[in-house]
Amino acid sequence: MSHKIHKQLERLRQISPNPHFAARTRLSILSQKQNISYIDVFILFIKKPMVVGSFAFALVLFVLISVLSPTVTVSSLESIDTLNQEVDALSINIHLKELSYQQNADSMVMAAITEIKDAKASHLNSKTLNSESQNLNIENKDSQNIDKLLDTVIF
Amino acid sequence: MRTISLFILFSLLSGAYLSTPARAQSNTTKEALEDVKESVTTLINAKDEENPNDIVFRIETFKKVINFSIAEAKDLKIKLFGVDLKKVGTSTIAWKNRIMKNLDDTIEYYDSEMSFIKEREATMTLAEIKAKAESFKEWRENKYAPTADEINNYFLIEQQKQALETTKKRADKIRIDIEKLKKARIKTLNLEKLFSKTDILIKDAYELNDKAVLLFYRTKILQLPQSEDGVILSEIIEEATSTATSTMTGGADKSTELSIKDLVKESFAKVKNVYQIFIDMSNLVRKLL
Repeated sequence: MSHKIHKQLERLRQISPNPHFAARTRLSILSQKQNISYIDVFILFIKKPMVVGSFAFALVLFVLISVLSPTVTVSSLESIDTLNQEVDALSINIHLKELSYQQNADSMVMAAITEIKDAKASHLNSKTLNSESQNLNIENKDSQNIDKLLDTVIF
Repeated sequence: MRTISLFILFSLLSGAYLSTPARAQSNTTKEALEDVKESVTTLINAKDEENPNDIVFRIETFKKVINFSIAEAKDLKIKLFGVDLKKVGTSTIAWKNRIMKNLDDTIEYYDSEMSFIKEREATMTLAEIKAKAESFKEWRENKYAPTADEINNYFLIEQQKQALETTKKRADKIRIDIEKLKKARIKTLNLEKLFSKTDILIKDAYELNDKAVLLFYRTKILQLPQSEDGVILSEIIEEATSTATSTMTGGADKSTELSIKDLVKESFAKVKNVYQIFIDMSNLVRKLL
């Protein structure tokens, strides 16, 4: 009986897979290893203690730099142009210009009414006199030359 | 077909004109003023040359003056139409109606003067045109000018209120930014010194405009005699300064020496000073960062 078992075990020991089956199975296993995704690889990578430590260090460094360095944005005072535009765009500015126009217009109307009513001293109108005086070129070169000639004749 | 096209084009142009925001001086008014200038020059020359028909030029100038005055009064009416009645109290509505009636009366008077001149221009004497010009001047000075002043003062005050609001908003933003700089351990002492100056200027600017508001409401809208100041001052403040930060307390307004226009102009000058300081602060911030 024991001889029979021994013989049986001896025969089982010599059992090996079909070489064709073995090769096919091996290929199948190898191909499965290649299918591991990059995400899995990344997760495996960041789980490494060295990597976790580096990340923590970088974070602490970033926080320290942020706290210590003065990178403050002051939007309310950033641009002088914006401030100038803001004050120029105030509607009261426009209204004050309009008031100035109205005052000039009123002066013009009053001057017109005075001219309509006035029947005296028409040759002494200041506007006419001003206009005439502007047309007179006192510093004219010809008149200066005449003055020189007259001086020569007299003296 | 061409007529229809022209009609459509005209309608579109009219629509575009009406939809543009009302300006204080329309092109019609500006052109009318240019016409006045031209006719005055012509009249002066005619008188200087002793033109026997100078009355024709006097009449022509007078017509141009009336034309301009009508356009000017209509501009003010359009401006008044823009007042949002939902945002004002009952007294202001009553004031607006009174002022609108004054303008309507003025336009009616101008129209009647124009019709008279057009009907009689061929036979008018120098004495007649002089009398007409004199009465026109009186109307303009005594009826139109005070009305125009009231309208202008009303808008000055309202626009200064807006200017103050804008300035206050800018100051609030700057205050927040100064706090940010302080947290970032940046030296803000000089900035704070400048900013405290603007605080005082803004407060003074508000006070001046509030005085203008009170003066306007007391004398123009409520038309109160001086003695009643103390009695209903609180009521005036409630209606007049609903949007402004009033710092006025009881007692009569002591700023009667200054006109409404002066008060608003002074208040606006302070706003300009504030912005100049803001610009100085902006330059300082650039150096700090």
